[in-house]
Amino acid sequence: MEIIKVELLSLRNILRKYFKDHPYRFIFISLGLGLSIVGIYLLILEGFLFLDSLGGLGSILLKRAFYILFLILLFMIGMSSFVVFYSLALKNRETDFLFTLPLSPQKILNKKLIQVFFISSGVPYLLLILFILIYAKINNLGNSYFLFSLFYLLPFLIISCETGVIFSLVSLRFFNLKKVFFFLFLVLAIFFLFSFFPKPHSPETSYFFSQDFFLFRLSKLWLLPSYWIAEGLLKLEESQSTYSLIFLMNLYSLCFLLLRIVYFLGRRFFKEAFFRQSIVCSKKKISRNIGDSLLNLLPLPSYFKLFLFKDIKNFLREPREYLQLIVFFGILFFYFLNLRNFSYHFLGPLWKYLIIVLNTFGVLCISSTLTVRFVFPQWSLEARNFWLIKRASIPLSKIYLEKLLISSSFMVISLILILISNIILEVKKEFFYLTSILVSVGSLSFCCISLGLGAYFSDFRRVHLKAVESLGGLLNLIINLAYLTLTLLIFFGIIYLNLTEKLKINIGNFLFWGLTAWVVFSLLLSWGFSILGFKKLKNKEFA
Amino acid sequence: MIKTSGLAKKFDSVWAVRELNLDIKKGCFYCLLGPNGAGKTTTLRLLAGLLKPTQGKIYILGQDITSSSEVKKFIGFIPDTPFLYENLTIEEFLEFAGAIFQVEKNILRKKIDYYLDIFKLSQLKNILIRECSHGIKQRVVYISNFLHDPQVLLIDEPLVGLDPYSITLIKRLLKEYTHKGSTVLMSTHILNIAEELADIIGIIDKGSLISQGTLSQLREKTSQKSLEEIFLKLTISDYGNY
Repeated sequence: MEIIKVELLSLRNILRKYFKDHPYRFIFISLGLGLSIVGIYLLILEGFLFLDSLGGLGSILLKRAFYILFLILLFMIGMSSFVVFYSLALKNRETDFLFTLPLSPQKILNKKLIQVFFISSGVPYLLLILFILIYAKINNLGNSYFLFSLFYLLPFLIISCETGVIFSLVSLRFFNLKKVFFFLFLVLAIFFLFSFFPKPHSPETSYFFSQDFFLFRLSKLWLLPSYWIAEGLLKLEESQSTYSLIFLMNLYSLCFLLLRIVYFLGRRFFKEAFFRQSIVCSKKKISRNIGDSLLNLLPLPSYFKLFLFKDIKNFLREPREYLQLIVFFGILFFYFLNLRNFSYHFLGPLWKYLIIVLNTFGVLCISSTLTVRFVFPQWSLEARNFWLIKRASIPLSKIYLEKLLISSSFMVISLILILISNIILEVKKEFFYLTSILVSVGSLSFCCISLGLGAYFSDFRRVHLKAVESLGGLLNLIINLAYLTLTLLIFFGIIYLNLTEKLKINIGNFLFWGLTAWVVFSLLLSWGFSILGFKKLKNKEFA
Repeated sequence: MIKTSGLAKKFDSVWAVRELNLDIKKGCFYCLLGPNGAGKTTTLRLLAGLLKPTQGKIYILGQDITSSSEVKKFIGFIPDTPFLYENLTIEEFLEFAGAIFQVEKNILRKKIDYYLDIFKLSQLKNILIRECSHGIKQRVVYISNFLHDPQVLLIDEPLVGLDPYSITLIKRLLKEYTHKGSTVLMSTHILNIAEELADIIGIIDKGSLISQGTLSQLREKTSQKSLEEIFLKLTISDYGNY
């Protein structure tokens, strides 16, 4: 109990202290959070209303959305729990401390499980509540449907977390983490390659929406708990209470069964897994490998290669870093798996257009998230080493440039993603160029904004992950999102109006001049943030 | 109080500790000396139950530390970089530490007030730990380990970041502890601390205990006068040319 109380006391102290030190900022952030929730509510509501307006097709899609949503959540929360459990329970100084106390491993595991549950499924739970609330409202299902559905959500979220924790415990106890992920990556890559070649087409749109997607088929697998919750909620809607109750019971049974398995594994493996992953156990002899030799061949200045080595190795030797990247690419994997099956050529121009917008939005969103998470903390990551950088005979501007170039690798990833998506969907030439330019210049701007703000707000007393949670991190996220929204609104808004003949303009001219103006604007914005960050960094003292 | 037999720890291909046989009696102040990377911290972490031995056994108060968490009630551990809940106040953290070790509430209150007073932290007790300096955090760690009167106290590099007043106070408290029958095992680089406090000094190098005994016994063994000379002679193979 005491170890849970500590967390509650910490949370209370953080809020109290923040309110005392920055009352206006506290109110501003609280208001912002409240408004964001309202915004998300309205966004989902708009989406539902749009689908509802499509009639029969909309109705099919709405129902399919349930299965897919829960399948994606099962995967995402599972992965998130895996990573969170790994970093919170096994690679954490608190666990180290707790093991010195007269506490049984079981109690420590309990605390970590509760933490993992709240961290991994807190936000999804909130989003699901909004989702169900709106669904009930659109279909006039009443408040009782909404209240009953909350009983379905809880076991489902716990099951998702438990799956991640079980996977984490077993793999960390028995396997080398790097080998596990390499193996998983290999399996997924092979699976992806093989599933890429056959390209089934079905003539009817409704059939295509119900069967064609790989994700649709997977989400209808009756063995998965995501199917049980979706089916249970839909049966509840159709007033088939008995069937619905069976699915609910299934969920609770599995939830308790998995909990028993977690405890069983915890009793046997938790301490063992902790010993294997213990921070002080890292006395590994690391030899220079083929990667070093390849990097050495690059025709770059020696100082540049030194920093490149350091940054890449720091990234690859820190599982918390690369695991998060794997989560992002895991989501993309599913996305592309669906895309190749997409019978895009059967759709009308508006649908095609919507898919292009969503792809560009998705890729830019991922690019934006990756830069906030990985590029923004670059300077804070230097932390206590910053004195070395400041004392070095290499100008700070060159190091800044090195970081910018490394960060730009995200631009390359984004560009590759949008090119693949464009090729698979065989989009028209003008959209091909438009999306490619938007994504590459947009990603570069994200990198510059994040690196500049990261330099401006760098705090050398904090660990880099904490830096993301700071005011600078929040500001970075807001600016990135504002830039993203502006970009999409300008281009796709005007093209949409043109397609629906609400605005008549020469689209070729608009694309040429609009893109030119936007590229100039983006480059100026990037330059401005870079200069801002660089100047601040130059005058910054090591703290 | 502390007994190890054939204790060894291997990290991948590196033996951090090998064939360590310790037998530290009740009320003994044992100082573990050794050069950097000798295996001092690993030894202490093994004794605290934070690492699993590759070979050998560890008995503290007659109980195997690897299989029982109950025995930890009687152990205090101060690592070189201690963990603290940064968003708790000093007082909240001490209350937490006392409660975890099941110290009775009234006694805990009195002890907290007493130690806050002698460590000159009474005025700072409502300050968040994250806002404290390294020295103050170090003092908090000491207090949290004194609250449950541990019978065995394991300390890794004990005086880093402390001011002269705190150093004197801690030296006095540790000595009092051993007089009351508790056992202290401390690893340090500061030779005069070992010289001043230790009943028994153990010198560890490359994971093995190369010599142990009282200061006078070590002097006899090595024919050197000061602990510094003893240490250098035992740990540097070509000491004669040094």
